[in-house]
Amino acid sequence: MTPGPRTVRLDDGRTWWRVADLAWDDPVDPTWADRTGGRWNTPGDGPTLYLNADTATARAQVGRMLQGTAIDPEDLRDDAPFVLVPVGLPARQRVADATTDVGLQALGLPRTYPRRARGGEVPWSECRRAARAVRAAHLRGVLSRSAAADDGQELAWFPARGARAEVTGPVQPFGAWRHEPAAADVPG
Amino acid sequence: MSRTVSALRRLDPASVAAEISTSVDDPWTQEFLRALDARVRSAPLERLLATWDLSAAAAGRVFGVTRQAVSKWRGSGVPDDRAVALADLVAATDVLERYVRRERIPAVVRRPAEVLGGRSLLQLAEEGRYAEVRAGVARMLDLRRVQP
Repeated sequence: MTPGPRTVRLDDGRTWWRVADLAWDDPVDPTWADRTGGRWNTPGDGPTLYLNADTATARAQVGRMLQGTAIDPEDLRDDAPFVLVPVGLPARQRVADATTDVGLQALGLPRTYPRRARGGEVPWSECRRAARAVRAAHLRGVLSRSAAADDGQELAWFPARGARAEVTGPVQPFGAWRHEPAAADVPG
Repeated sequence: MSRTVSALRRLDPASVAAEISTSVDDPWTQEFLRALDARVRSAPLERLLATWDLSAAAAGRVFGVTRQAVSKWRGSGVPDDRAVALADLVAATDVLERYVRRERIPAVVRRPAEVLGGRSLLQLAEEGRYAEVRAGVARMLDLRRVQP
């Protein structure tokens, strides 16, 4: 039997990042993932919004989407309709930790997550099973190591009834964020 | 645009159509309508050939006809029995043009891909799997697969 999830409290007021397609009606709609399912939710489990902890992880999602396709990231147009959306969440959100060895173990997931110890990616079915325990513990989501970026983190946010994510700033066109900024462009 | 066409376009389209339709048996009107129809019907084919960088022979393999037939279609329009196939390929092209640099599309459609079962979009088209080309392009660019 695995212990309950290890919890972390998200920093209030921090910015999360979501990659969206301009064709979507609402880039922060958590009901879509509830209909289709995702890594941390089975369809019908409840609204879920998938977010990235930083822009590098968001950028990696595009690369991950194109893995195994006929399209290379460099084939994309600068004005391709992928946009980067800054997102804010309500304050005082407690989520399950899937970023540390201890947190992963508490969720019944391998310490090698997102990979299995013997190779291959941890399947969604295992993440979904762990996420059901997270919902049962009334936590607001799972903060995990990214499956797209080596050092990145992702959040699957489970909004409380009536809670909403907010777009907190200008939406950035693809050409503005598709490439890693040059060192000279990074402030500080 | 010529001055004649510019002048025509200043008129109300519905009124012009009503007037022309009164003389629909007139040879000039018939020829005008036929030519306009052929242009409209062949435009998607021209776009496909240009965007995918297909020769008439290559397009013939895609549609299962000779290159001479394709050349004929370029003048007279694509026949009805190829309309669905062309619509699927043009829909795929629409999506590619929205996301992919125009000059990269010929390479993209020729590149084998795991998500296409190791085939390329062009190979699928040559096998007559036009709907799979359309669905394949949509799937490749669907962010929801990795971030729903």
